[in-house]
Amino acid sequence: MKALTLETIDIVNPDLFVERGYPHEEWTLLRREAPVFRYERPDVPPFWAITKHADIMTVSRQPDLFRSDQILFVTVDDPGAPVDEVILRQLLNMNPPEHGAYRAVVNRRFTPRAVRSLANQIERITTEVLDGLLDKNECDFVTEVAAKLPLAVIAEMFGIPRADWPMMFRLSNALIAPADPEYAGTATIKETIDQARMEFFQYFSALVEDRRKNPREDLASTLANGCVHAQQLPVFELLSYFALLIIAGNETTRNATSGGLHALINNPEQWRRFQNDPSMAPSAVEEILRWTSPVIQFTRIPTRDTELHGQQLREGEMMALFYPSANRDEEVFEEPFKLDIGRTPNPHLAFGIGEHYCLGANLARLELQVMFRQLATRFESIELAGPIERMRSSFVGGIKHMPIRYKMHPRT
Amino acid sequence: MKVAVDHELCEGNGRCAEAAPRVFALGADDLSHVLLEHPPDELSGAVARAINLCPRQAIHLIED
Repeated sequence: MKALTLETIDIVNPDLFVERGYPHEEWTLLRREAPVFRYERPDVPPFWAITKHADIMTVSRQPDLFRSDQILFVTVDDPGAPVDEVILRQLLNMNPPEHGAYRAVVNRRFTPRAVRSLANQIERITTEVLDGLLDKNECDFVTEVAAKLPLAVIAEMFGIPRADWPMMFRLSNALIAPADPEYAGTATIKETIDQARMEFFQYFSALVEDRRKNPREDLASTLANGCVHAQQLPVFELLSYFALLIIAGNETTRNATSGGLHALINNPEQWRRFQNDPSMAPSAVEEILRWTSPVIQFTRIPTRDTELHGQQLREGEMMALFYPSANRDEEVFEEPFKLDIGRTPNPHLAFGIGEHYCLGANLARLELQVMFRQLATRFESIELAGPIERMRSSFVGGIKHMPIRYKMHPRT
Repeated sequence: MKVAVDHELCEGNGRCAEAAPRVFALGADDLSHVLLEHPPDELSGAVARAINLCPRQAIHLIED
């Protein structure tokens, strides 16, 4: 049992995320002893690590005091990473009032009511994806199941043809985890990002041109013809918006799905509980979100000197909000390290809160509820057939491969 | 003090209507509307919960 100290813990090295998953012991130490902690290490630009639920809420609720900026997350220095470069300019980088104006272009399509109209489609896609497993008894759950549903849903919402879905998948992976050699090959982080962005932008430019000439009812048309302050969106922001929605619509839900199944496999009494009562899907999904918390961090920067939990933060000093830590906060959740699919209330921050609250939250919830209800009802048993492989990232926590062995009920 | 919903932030998540149905209701416009701007004292707990739960933090108590 290693002795963790504030001076030596590492919470940002992506290799450690591959090896051990989330640094829960480290975050627990921080919550207990230094909830607003000045993290200084030789290979990391210094930042304030914010680990408690209440503090993340306080910061998130004040987007004018704590602004979003270009750098979205903190990580170890990498000579191959882009420096001071604007990669994308989209909702995550924006602040009020601009942020609200951009969000309003599409947010009507992501409200609970709008998302409910997609329920049949989501059910159909999930059924099809799981039907694909009927003729065998082993698969890679991530690539063959978890990745397919959110990709299909967001691509259909956009009106992107099926033939282009593999490209959307590949480019999303490259942009969200350019430090992972499986997605980058031998290219540097900067090369991987530049290449993926260029391909995305070329694709979306053609899509925009088409939807401006021939608008449809799809999300691509809404964006292409949308306005901010009565003007069409500037090119860079428009193409960035496409990239954001495709990547966000694709990656995080996949990770919650795989991570959720992994958690259920490791908590067989909860899995049985769910199988016995699939109507528990809504609370089960909230608990899966709390437990997996796929977005590890987002940064904020104070716009003036301010105090947080007794610490003096200076204007311009980088802060990182660690959502999975908030989701294990012992002052908010009873037995936070216990998976309880009936947990109520469950005020997790997996989707954040406030100005930047996840635009896709309602869509993600519906996808996860449909998927997990089908997993609970269509499978007699699921077990791991080999070790999982985690994504090399300190930004988003993902499982890239999860070999499973299973028994399905035959199709009736 | 009166209860107000910022319609620039509101996205019809409906947590407020769940927490305090006598104070908030989702309209046909998919936005939350305040039914009781000055709710009675016995609803102050429910209103406080609604304010806390709103994912967009769109509910405020403002000076009359």
